[in-house]
Amino acid sequence: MKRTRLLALLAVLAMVVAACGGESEGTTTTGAEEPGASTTEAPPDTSDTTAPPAAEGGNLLLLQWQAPSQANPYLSTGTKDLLAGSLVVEALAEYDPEGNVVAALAAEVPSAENGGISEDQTQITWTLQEGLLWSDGTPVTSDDVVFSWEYCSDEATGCASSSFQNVTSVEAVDDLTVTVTFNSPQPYPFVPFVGYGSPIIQRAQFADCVGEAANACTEQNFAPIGTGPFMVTELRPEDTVLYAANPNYRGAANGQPAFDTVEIKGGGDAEATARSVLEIGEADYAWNLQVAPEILEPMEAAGNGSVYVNFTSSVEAIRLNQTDPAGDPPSEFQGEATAPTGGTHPVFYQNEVVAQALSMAINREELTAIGYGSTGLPTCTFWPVRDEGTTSFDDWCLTQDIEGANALLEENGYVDSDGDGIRETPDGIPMSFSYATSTNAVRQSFQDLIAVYWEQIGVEANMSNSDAGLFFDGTCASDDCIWKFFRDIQMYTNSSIGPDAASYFLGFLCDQIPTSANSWGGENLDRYCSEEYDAAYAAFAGMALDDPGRVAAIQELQDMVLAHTVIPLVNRGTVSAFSNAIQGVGTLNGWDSEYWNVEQWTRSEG
Amino acid sequence: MGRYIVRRTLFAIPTLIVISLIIFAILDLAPGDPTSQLPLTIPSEIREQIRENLGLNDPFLIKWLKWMQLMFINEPLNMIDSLFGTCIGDCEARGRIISWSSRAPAMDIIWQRLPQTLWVLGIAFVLGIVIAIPIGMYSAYKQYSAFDNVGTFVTMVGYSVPVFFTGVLAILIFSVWLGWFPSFYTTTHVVDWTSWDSIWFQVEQMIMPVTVLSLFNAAALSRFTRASVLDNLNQDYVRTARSKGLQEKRVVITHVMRNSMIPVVTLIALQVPGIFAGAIITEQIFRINGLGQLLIVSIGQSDVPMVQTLTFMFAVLIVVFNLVADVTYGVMDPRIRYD
Repeated sequence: MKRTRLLALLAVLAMVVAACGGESEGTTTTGAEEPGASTTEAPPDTSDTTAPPAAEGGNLLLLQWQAPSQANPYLSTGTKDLLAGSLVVEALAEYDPEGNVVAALAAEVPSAENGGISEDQTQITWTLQEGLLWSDGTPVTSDDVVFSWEYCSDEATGCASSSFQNVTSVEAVDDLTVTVTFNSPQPYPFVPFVGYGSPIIQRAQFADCVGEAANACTEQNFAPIGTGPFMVTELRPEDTVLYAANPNYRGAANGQPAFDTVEIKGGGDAEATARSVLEIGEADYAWNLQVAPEILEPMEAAGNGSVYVNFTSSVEAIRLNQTDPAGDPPSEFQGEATAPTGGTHPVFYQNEVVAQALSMAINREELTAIGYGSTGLPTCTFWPVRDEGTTSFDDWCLTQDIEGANALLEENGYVDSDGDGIRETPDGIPMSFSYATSTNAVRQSFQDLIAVYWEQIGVEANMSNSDAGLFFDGTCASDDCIWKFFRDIQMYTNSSIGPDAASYFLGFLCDQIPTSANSWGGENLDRYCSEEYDAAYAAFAGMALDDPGRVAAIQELQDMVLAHTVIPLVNRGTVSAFSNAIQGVGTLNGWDSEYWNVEQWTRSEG
Repeated sequence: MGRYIVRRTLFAIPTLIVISLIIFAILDLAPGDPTSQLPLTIPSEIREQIRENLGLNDPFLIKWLKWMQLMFINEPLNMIDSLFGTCIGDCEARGRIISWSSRAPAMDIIWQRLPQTLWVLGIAFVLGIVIAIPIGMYSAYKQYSAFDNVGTFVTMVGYSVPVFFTGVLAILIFSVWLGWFPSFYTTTHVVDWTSWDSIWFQVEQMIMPVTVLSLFNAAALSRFTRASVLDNLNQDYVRTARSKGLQEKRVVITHVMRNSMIPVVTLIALQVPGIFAGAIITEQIFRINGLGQLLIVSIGQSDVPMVQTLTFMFAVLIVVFNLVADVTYGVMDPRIRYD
């Protein structure tokens, strides 16, 4: 009988454990409500597909397959956190879908005309709108702007924003005015406090969270007090974030936002979220749909939603290693002797012929159609922004020209002397290169296709791929990281911080080369170094924003880089899906938060 | 038996310390950067500062000892404090293990995740047992009958077809084509036991993952039960019981089943830690953001403290349930005696 009793006890225990797990679901919440905010319950469920959606109020269900970890943009570990924060905290100005700066919390965008930007371009003065309130009812002042800078510039905080790199001081002139001073003249000063990576946070809330204390402020990080249309009511890391409408939002008088609550639901993968919005119609929005076009396009046919694409500066490109073979020290850049590809070849250094031939052989239309469908555009430029994307290579690069590439190589002495199908350089080095990228289905199919194109011009590509966690590992713990570039060719997508060319083209200066001495810091991964480029860049950087010679200067810089080191392939658009019931979205915004105009979104009836 | 349990428990402590060292060493030495998901435009000085701030650059021994102190002393104290509302020692400033992704205490996030893992996987586990045992028994009893053959076929298919296929197939049929059930799980839904709608919402979102998982679990378990019952049906005591004139039902259910259950219960006990580890793939497919999904996401983000804490917790569960399985075996089978 003892045995039976013990067994019965075990069985009861098992049932109690299972039941208890369910009961405690409602009581474990993190991210408490801010002081002064009204408590709200869990949002009404809208996944019941039989009830007709309401035109006013209701819940907005956003799917981000990478779930937010927390809502403080300054401590973000990726775009997902910036998005979660962007519903709550705002910056002084934001970028619109075309990359122009528009005022958000500021009364207007400063410029040289209205005296907001100083003559010597070292100072910019912002004025806040009148009557702005935080969600807890207290007024927003310039002191909060100053505090936001103090919070991020304290090294011990571990702030993940690069917006304040060139800022020496931020001072409050009066309650509504603040002056930002830079360490050098900045033709494009719209970086600090512009965009969703650089918001204004409340001093009263975060005062004790500066520096090392930042990690201990879970409550503040999960529910920052902001000026945005919503407030966080509950945040479960890597899972869900719940928001309620902010009663003190400046657009509240106009009925903004139209929704009562928002839910950001994370988990799964891009395809599953696309299916939820497009095929099943159980959610309103799905973010960052990195899905193969043959899967994504048929999903739209169900008629529940549409795919939105916006093109910014994300260009998938091939980079040719520009290490100077005679440079000092060359051995550091040759990689491990045991590397599978046996180190790098000094073929590409200042070699316009080979760069052009390799580029001519590529069929960009085919690559785009296979890899991205309508979410990509074949491109000859790596800066396809506004009208600044013209290059001298535009005439030929979009058409594949195998004969032309072969002819170009032949007449410049790159012949196949030993008949193995691989050309040799005039110095006798075989044109057999290591070609690496990250592990990703689309990238691997690009590699396969490009290897075939190059085979037709007598160039051999030894392909390899590494896990994205190693390929993009900034600590460079392994030799696969892109900063070390221990191979001849690598392929990945680079994009700019914002819609300004100057900071992007900075990455090709000689002093930006990463080495082991500077722990592989530096943006010039290709190790491109040219005095001509440095001089042209210096001239460009000094130009004012409305200087008519700016576009030509950008083209000159770009031509130099394209001639040697970068082979652009596809301009990758930002891809998201919206339910057809959501109105007021406009163009998808690839430069700022995709929720930048969420206060204007409404749900249509029926 | 008591001495045996005490001895095993004492032996478990150095085992767990060694396990923690191995887990810690593997994760610490593995390449991986918590800032790798930041946009490439963030310069390396900032990345380095973030890593410094997270404590990534401390020497290995310091990190391990700190983590041991947090895991074995601070976290249990914290758990006691929050369960019983006490305040032991310096409860305000007590250090916690902090996740690198969310900068929040790792144990809080794990605790927050338990409900959905237990709801879905726990019920799938129990349901799997409830389905498997009768089917296994009947298949063995009527060996080679039509029921047995069909059962064999179904369990073979159920065991061979992976969950990521059946799961996605279920979503395709029930969510996309028929539109009956939601394709994802809402963790923030609070079940109001007085409201039928609320209960039905929870049932609706659980049906597909629970069915998919329990069928998978049941397949394996029913084969095992069948084998165990077959072993026992041929024993002498069964023939004796029948010749004594006992009812067939009593012979099978009271005598054969109890003896067949010995290895089956042991197997079940060993599978319980699997509930907590979560069916990682099922959680990903149905977006049930439980412990399995947390582990995968944390690995992808190189959130080392979270991965260390989770894997160590699973190790503790496995050690504990190994002991439970051994003790259960000894309890159920009088032929086994520990000392």
